[in-house]
Amino acid sequence: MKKKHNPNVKWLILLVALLLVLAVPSYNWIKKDNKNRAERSKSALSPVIMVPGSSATTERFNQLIDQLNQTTMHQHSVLKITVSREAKLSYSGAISKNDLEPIIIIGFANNKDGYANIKKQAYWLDMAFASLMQNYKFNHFKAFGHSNGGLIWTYWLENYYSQYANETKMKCLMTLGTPYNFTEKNLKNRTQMLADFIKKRSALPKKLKVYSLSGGKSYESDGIVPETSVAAGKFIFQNQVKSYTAMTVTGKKADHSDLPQNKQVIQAIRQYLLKKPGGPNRPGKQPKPKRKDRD
Amino acid sequence: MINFAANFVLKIRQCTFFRAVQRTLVMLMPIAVIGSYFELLNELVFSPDGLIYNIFGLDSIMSDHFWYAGTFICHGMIEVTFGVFAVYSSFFMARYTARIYQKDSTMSGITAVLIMLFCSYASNSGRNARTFFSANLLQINGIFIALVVGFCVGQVFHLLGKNYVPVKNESTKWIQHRAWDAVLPSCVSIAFGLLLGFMIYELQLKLLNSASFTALVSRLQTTNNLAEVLLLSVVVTFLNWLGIGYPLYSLLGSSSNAYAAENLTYAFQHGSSWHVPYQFLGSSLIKPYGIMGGTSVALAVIVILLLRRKNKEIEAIAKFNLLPVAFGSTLGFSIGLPLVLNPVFLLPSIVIPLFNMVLAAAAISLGWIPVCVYPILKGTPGILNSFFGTNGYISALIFALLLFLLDLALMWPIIKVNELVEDKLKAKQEVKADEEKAQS
Repeated sequence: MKKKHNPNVKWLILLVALLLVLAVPSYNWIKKDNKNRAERSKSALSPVIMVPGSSATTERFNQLIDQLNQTTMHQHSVLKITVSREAKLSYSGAISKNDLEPIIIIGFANNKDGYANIKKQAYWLDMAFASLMQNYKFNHFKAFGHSNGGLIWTYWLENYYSQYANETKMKCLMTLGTPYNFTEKNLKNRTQMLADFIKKRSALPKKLKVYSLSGGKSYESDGIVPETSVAAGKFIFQNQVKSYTAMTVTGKKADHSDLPQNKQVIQAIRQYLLKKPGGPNRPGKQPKPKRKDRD
Repeated sequence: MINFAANFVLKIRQCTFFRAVQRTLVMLMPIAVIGSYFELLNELVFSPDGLIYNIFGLDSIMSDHFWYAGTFICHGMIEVTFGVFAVYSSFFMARYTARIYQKDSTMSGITAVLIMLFCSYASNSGRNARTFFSANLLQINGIFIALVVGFCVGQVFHLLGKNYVPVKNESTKWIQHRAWDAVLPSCVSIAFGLLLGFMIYELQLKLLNSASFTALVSRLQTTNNLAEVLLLSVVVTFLNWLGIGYPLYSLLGSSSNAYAAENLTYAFQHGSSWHVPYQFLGSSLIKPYGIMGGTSVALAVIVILLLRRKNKEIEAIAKFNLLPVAFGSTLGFSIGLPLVLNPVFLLPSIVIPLFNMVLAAAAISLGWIPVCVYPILKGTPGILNSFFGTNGYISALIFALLLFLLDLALMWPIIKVNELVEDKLKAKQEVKADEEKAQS
């Protein structure tokens, strides 16, 4: 065959060589670029995870979310997870695909009061949280707990959070009428739970911002939880986390079960817990004017 | 079998239309090749989302001054080659059509250009006051219309023009005579042209632009149904063969749509694209596998031509286009060989992408290769599209290489048919020349 000395073969070989020479830096560049994009994409998702108090279900925050969605430009989608006694998860609602700040509500089939139950509920919360991490891989989130929900979050932070610390960060915890010392009015009498919380406080994340909101129906309590019990939170968080802010709302709807519908509370959530409108967007590299596509 | 196919193709090739198209496109080859080299340079080096621009960090290295100069030159050259390619094509199409019938070819060419420009003016009128002509009709992607216009003008000259024999030295008197002879067919052609332009203006006919094909392209990109992807890609590749490259061009341009974005978000959050929600999305099948960034058919043809070396000139065209085609700038070659409106390449232009996509979909569902969801830089070599689109999976690269080898194997008999057709045409021409000699 005369094809033996085909001079064109050298051109083909040259082309393959050129492709190889280009492919190596391109490969590195693409890996890096996709990694950056992935990080940006992940960091953009920042859910608010809410835990209701004792005797309340995942429907507890419906009114709160309605009011939040009415007053913010951005509509938050809602995913509700109920954890059964056997730690089985059932879902309702969904996170819409363009929502970077969805609200996730985790409730429990056993929503009874008491320290023993709070420990169980923290375990169930962890089950739900592990599943969320598996599915959504967000690298930061915000937590909100009403009443005992705040206790569940505190117990979870001290006992479970460390296993996720490399993957995700709780940026902010807001508790609402949370009885850190149960119904005990006297700060000197610490319940077993408060004592445990204080003992393990070093496990709390150093960069966490904590807001503790209480209701002032009377000068002493929100009708159910004594103000001093809410204030006991300072023994757990103060000088341990990045900041600990306590606030008391009074006026209409300042009693314990009305607190999630209170206007000042909703404003505080908007201001301290949610992303600011316009968001902290990373300023991108200024691209040169793009070539107008021929159409 | 090959012989039968060659005879069949030969019959089609001998129609006046295809004969004139072949001559026109072959004549315009140099312009198309120049255009594709500048397009390559522009996409690789001067586009902010180009391959070389990004991997060598030209954003910080290249001075603004240099960038503006380079962009200016590239855009300018692309505009005067590809941007008004239909003007050139209509000229040569009318010219060669008229010449087949021994009519005054130059005058018919000029008439066709006039009609093209008028139609372009008509389709722009009232929309953009700053420019007179709408670019859409004049672009290389809409060459089919120009060829049809040129052919029709040539036919008018055929019917109404006087026979014309070129002479060596044309005196003014002779030219005057020649111009006078062309008045009737020119006027009739222009009257038809006016009618066409008037229709375009009155009915706001959007003849050929990317907007006319948005529905088709976006449907193809957003469907996750393999059958639909295959069906619509037949339409797109057929139109491209016909010389209407807009759908294919916009397919290559961007693959961003809501579903692709969802796939991408999934891949970012899970670290890979193995189990994205839309596995057979049109936009992730056709570009990296079906047409391999535009190169699958053209590159296969070039490689075979280079290996077989049957015809010196065709070999030179192939060699010249090797670089731009490998990087996805195929227009120079599709015009130069030509692939466009060449009956031999109709079937492979449609079937090879289908074949590639079916195999890719099978490989995806068998879990051999992940889905292509990651963004791909402009000017990425066609064969590497799937490699980079899967964020560097070696299995995707190997799959694409095997696919290309298969494409070569499929293309081999087609090239043989093409050679046979060329041989037969040559033989016929020789016989004809001999006959003419004998007669004189």
